[in-house]
Amino acid sequence: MRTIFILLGTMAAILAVIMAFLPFGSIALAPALLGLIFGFFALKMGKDKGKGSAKFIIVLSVLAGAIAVVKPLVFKNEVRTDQQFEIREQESRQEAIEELEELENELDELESITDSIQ
Amino acid sequence: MKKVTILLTLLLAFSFGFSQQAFKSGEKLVYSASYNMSGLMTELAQVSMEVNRINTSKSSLLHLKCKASTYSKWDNFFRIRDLYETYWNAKTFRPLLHKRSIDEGGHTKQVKYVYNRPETVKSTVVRKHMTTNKNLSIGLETFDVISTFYQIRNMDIANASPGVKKTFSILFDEEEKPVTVTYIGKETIRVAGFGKKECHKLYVPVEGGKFSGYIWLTADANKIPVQFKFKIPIGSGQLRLKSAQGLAN
Repeated sequence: MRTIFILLGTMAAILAVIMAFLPFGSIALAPALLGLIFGFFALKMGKDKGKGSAKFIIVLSVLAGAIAVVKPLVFKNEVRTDQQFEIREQESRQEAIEELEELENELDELESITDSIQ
Repeated sequence: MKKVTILLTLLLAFSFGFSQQAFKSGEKLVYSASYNMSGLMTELAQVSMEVNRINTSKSSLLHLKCKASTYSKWDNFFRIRDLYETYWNAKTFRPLLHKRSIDEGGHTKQVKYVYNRPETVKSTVVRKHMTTNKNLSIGLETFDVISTFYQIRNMDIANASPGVKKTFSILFDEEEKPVTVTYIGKETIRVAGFGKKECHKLYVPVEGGKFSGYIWLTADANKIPVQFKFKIPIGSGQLRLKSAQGLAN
């Protein structure tokens, strides 16, 4: 039983560390909590000599949890300046204005129709 | 993302009649978009909506623009750079040109609708290796996503009764999509930078409830869409207002 807890705890703790470093925000807290629980049970069930693995799982889980909590406070959500996107935006606007210039006659017609309706 | 876009579009398309102008040139609304992952909302992208006046040689137009960009931390995993634009006649408040340019995780698509009212739209769709041109026959009261978004801001829902339903039509992916929206009532929610605000709450079921969502509009003259919540078969998410500049009232 203790081996199962250590196995599950290790998997949860590693998953928590990976998710803590990926941009998943506080979602890493879920596997970190599981790692902590499995590690705690493994620690309780182990004999004095074999408690190292359980302690390692607990430390790893706490570390992952701490990173998951602190990271969003340090690294704020921001949008990177994207020159390609800005150029695409400017080009789109320019093309639209040119197209709208070509549509001016139709626009006049549309306005006259609308005016007559009003 | 496409399904979410459609849903958000539908969430915004709602009308009970026109009221005073709820926005003006210079307005900019910024939202944070989140997706529910294992019960926790994870912020994914920033969405901004802007109104600017532009002039052609003969007319004054309103340029309505919506941009969506993933936060930099997500760019290496799934990068989104979406641009939705509509050019309105500033006098009639009716659309003349709609453009949609999306880049979602490498999937790109450009759509252009040139309104040839009263009943047709010239549609141009550009995918990676193919350009398609069509003349679409649409109803006089069928509008694109962005037009619908801003038209709702000008609708008079101040005196709407809970349970009132309205069916309307949106042009999306070259199809007219009819949707029935229900007015739920007023609700007070906390909005960043505004504190507690009384809002109008609307419910939008799509495709028989397969997709659904709620929208909250401030119960004032600006009718700012401050919050959206949506459910899709693979999860749920929300958009929350982060900042608002250049409000009309």
